[in-house]
Amino acid sequence: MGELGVEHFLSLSAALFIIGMMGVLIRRNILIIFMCVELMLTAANISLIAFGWQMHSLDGQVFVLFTIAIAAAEAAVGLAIILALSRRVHTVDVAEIHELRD
Amino acid sequence: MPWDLIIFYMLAAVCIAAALGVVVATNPVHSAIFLVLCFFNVAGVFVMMGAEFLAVIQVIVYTGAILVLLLFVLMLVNPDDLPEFHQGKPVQRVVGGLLGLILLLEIAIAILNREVVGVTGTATPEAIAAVGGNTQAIGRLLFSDYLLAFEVVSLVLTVGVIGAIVLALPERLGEKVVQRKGTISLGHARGVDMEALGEGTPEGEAPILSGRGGFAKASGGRKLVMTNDPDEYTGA
Amino acid sequence: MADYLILIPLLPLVAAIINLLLGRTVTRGKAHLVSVPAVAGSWFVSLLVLRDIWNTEHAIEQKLFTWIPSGSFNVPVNLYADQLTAVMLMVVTSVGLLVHIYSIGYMHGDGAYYRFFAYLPLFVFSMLMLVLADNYMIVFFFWEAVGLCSFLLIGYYYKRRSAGNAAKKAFIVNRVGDLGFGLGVIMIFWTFGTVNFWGPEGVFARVGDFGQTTITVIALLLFTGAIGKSAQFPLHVWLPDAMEGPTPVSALIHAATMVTAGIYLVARSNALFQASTTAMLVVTCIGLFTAVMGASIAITQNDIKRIVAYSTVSQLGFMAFALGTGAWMAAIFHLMTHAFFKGLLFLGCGSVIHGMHEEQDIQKMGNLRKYMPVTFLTFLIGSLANAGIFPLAGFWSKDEIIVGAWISTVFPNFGKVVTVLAFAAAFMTAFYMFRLVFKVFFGKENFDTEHVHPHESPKTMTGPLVILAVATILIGFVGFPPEDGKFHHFIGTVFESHAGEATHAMASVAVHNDGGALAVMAEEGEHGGHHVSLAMTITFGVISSVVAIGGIFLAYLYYIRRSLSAEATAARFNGLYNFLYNRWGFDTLYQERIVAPLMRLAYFLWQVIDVKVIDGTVNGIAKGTLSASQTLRKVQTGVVSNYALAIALGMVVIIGIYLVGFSSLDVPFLR
Repeated sequence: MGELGVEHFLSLSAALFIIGMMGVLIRRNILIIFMCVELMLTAANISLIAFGWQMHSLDGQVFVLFTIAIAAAEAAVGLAIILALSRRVHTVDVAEIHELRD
Repeated sequence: MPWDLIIFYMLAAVCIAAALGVVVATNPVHSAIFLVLCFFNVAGVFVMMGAEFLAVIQVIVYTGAILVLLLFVLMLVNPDDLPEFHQGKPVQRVVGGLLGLILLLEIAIAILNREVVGVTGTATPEAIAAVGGNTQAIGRLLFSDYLLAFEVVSLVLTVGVIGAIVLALPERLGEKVVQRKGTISLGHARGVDMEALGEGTPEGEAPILSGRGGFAKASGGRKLVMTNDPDEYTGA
Repeated sequence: MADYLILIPLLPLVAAIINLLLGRTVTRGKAHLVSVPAVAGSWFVSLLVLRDIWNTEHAIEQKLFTWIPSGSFNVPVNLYADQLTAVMLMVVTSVGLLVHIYSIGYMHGDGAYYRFFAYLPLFVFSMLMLVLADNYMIVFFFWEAVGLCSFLLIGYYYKRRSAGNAAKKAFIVNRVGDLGFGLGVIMIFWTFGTVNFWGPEGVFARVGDFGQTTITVIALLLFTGAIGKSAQFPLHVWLPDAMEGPTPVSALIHAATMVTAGIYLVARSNALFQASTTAMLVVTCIGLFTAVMGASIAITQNDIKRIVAYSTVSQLGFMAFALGTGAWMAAIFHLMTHAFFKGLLFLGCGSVIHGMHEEQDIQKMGNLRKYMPVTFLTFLIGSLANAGIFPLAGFWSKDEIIVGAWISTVFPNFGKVVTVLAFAAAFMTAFYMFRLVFKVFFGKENFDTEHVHPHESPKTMTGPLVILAVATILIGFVGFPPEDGKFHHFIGTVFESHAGEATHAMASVAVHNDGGALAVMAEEGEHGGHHVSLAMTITFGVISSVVAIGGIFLAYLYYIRRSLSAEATAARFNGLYNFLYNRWGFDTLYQERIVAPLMRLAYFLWQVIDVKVIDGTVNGIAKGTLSASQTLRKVQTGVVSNYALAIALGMVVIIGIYLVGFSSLDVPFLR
């Protein structure tokens, strides 16, 4: 692999996504899970930009812009939920939050 | 080895290392710092792909806004509420790692065997340079083809902000709002009789059919009358 | 011109609806103010119909709508009134009206007064529709409707257990007959492709087109319905029990009108019956047996209403064998006269019971003529009519039936046997009627004179009695002179128009079979039927009078002069007495052989099949679902991590499937 190609970026994207996913699956702190979700989103962003870069299209970048905007909204709401959760049930451990079971 | 490849490998290595750091760090604050590091490197990768505008956005929005917000929340949450790191079930960890490995394998196969399908776009580096750079090109696209989506996203952001405020609001404010609406009079002349509800009602919970103990006690003892307004009810 | 036909059934229906919907709140104690004028209006319109048919000698038709338009199966709801219908209309509305008036007094002060005056017009409506219908489907429908009204009215005092049981008995026994009728209607449609009576495509016009076996089966199935409704052997058991209902109901439904629906059905279907000698024979035998049996049971009973009820059974038997022997006009004539004098007798019974404070046992009565003279006189007239004493209604019609049997062209030889047995039944009729009269109105007072004070009934009750008594005296003269009266000229066309065709059909069959007697008979039928000589009429009149007076005289010896002791006779013929007293053992037989096994079967179905099998299955499924879901709910841990894991697993699997199965991927180690 002599030249910088799209597969490099895609590999990076895959690595970040899988690390993020494993984090979501393994960690129990809801804040860490939240960060891992952000990581996965970023991985997806890299893929989008990489394909756009390869195909000479700006649409990928526009999508990423929207993704970041939505991620910002999601972050605001998600963090507010975490805050409320912490106040209400006094934990941010996902293993202890199982209100849906009962 | 060309320079761009060397730079990419450096960025990627730091990026992956930082990402691993996010997952394995015991202290959530460390995780957040690692995430900042990771995102900075991702911004570098964006620049390598000619997405200068997004690189800046990445730094401003993620590193500047979201991560700071995250750290704030981290500070607000009671440290006692945070779970210990090694409390996770081993099964969960093994399965998670296994799934990650399988996915890595699958994606590796997919990347190695991928073929390009589709039509090449018009946004060549020359065309972008012609309109004045990456930011200008995105701006043109955003306010022409993607105008509706752009407006919708702005609406989503607004809703997100309002939602965040409502959720994070101290619940005593919400309590008042709820109590003015439908309420069950338990035979008290002025509406809700908090004593009759018993100790089962947690503070701040609206007494509408909520507290299990309170409801059962009320139905066992006093007459239950549904009113829309506490003043509507004029004694048993 | 004929559009007023609809008014006849419509008026009682409207009254019934008003009383059913508003009875509880509005009409209440004044429910009769709705019902009586409605039935009176219906009676008046019936009178107009009778006049029109009498003058024009043509049937009146009114087309209403098509009830079931289903392929080749068309059931129109049309009203059709010919001479037979006109007679039935007059009988139903006249007796109905008088019973309505009588009920004002009889039911006075009853808690559910409005309910009575809702059911009664509903019955009148159903009965009128039954006789006005122009196809078998509508007849069947209203056949069931009168059965329903009968059920409702027998069970009127539903709080009394015996009334509820009697209502159920009447309903269920009638179902047996109605099943036959229903099958008959199906068979008619299957054979003829239509259920309509009239027209060139109708049932009656095409009887000759089909084999005698088919026609016989149809006729017998129809007669099964008639057996149930008209309380013929072996389904007669419901009628005496039906006396649990209020007495006006007994008079209207179980004496004058509904029970004659079976007779009407056979008379209406005379084209079918005339085409089948077998069916006629069955009708004759069953009718004759019923007549003798009913009369013999009536001799030993002690309940005043039961005696009259068995008398009704017996008289219906007379009508049935009159139909069977081909004396159609005599049967309808007897139906009409019987409606009046039996209605009179029942209303008289009601008056006696009313005056005796709900006492029904004739052994606890006596010398009542002193207390209730009007009731006594009218009851006496009714009894004389029932016994067949000249010149009251019963004499003319019963005499005609007996003569009809003697000269029967259908069964020239068997008819003689029928006649002899009919005389025996007539003798018994006279005896039991006057046993009743003597025990109730003569002799010494067998009741507690200290506490029971018999009194004459109010005017609303005695009024109808007097009217019916007058009618009973006069109605017989419409059939005078016998066999050739106005009545016969009027109604004869109904039977003669078909007689020709039917005998044609029969003749053709007869020629195919063995010719002989049937052909001769058919010949006779074609030449305008038989005519009875004056001598024969007088002879039979004298014989039947002697028989009737003999019966009365025997009753006189037993219960007035007491030169013969009823107790001694009963003791001497103990077995016979008990046999008759237990109503030939039919009730016991049915109870033991049919009802009890069915009850056991029902109990088995309830306790084993329903409770254990069906409920067990249903509950088992519910329990299984519950325990399965209790196990499966553990899958839903409520922990977010598990759901995330599931999502990741799903994603991995889907990507794997895509790579292996759907992409152009060249996977070395999977090949």
